Amino acid sequence: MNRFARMLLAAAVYGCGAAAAPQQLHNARHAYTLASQGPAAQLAPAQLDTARLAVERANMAFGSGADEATVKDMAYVAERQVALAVSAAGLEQANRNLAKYQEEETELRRKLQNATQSELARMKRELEAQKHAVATEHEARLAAERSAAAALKSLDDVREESRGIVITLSGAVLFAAGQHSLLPIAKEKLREVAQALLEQGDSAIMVEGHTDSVGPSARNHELSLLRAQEVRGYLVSQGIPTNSIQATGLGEERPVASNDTAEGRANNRRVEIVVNPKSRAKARPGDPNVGG
Amino acid sequence: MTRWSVSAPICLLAAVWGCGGGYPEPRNQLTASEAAVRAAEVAGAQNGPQSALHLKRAREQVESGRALIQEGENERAEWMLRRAQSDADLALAVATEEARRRQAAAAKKELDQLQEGLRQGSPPQ
Repeated sequence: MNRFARMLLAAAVYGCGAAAAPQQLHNARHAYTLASQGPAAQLAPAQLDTARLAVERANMAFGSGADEATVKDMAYVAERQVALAVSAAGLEQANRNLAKYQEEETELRRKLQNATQSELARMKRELEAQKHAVATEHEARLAAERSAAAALKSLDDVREESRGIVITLSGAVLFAAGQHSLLPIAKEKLREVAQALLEQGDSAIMVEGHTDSVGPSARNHELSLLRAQEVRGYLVSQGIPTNSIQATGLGEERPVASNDTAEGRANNRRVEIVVNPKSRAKARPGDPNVGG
Repeated sequence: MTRWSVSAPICLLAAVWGCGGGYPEPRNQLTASEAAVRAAEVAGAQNGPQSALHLKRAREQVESGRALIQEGENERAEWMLRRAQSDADLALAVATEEARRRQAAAAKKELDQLQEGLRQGSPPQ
């Protein structure tokens, strides 16, 4: 049977209402129905319309009684047209997603860059402030040291030894003979000393009492300790922290001059204040000559 | 248009063919189908599972179309080649779509990593 005859026969059968649509046409119609209800309707309307026309052509061919092979081919192509529309919608969605992610990343990096620059500026300001504070503190420390040095130098006898800065106060200025109560003039002098020590900062201080060799040695020891403790107590009353100052009595052990002359004995009767003494570690808490 | 009124022009065309010496060889369709297959190949359709399937069908249908032309079945050949072109076009579209989906997924991953890095306080790359 030739093609023309088959077409006529098919049209006749369809005209009688007995022909059934081929599966391919069902597939194309179903695919189009699904696609028209999906994202393609919004994202690929032009492609979906092309698919609709393809399905309609296949339907018309079937309706006009075209031969089954032709209808199947047209339905096959129509189904691919529907798939093309669905794929075009997928491509459009992917394009939109890609643009959205790239835009979000760009925005995030821009914010990050701004935040980083802001953070850098803040850190720079903090650094400048710290440098300024350090410079100010350094300047203040230098000024305090200069002031303390000047204050110490204004005292009668200040010298630097290996054990520390030693301030020597004459016993004649501090105490009456054989006594351990401070004279009024001594308090005035010790106020100056206390002020100088306070300006010196956190230092370890040792107050040493010394006597000449006149009289019993034990008595000299006791007197030197009492005098040292008296001086210590007064310095504490002027603000020197109790835990940074100690007192010790050395009696006649360490003369600085001969005890054979009046002048020498006068020099030996003294109180020495040793600032930051290196020998402090040797002073044991149990030492009877040492008072805290 | 009624069924019989649609069939009438088809019958007329058939009669004209009968007088004109048969259906012409679908050379243009063959060229179009082969070009569509090459375009899909260039787009890398053979690398994706779905696009590769459509490309395979397109190639097979091109070969079938050529064979039908050799046999003088020109009308069947033309339809076979149209099917081939529709499959090749679909292979190209699916390959493009799949590539773009991968690109979007990579961008999303990069974005997520950047956000995660910021949450954890590490410097961005």
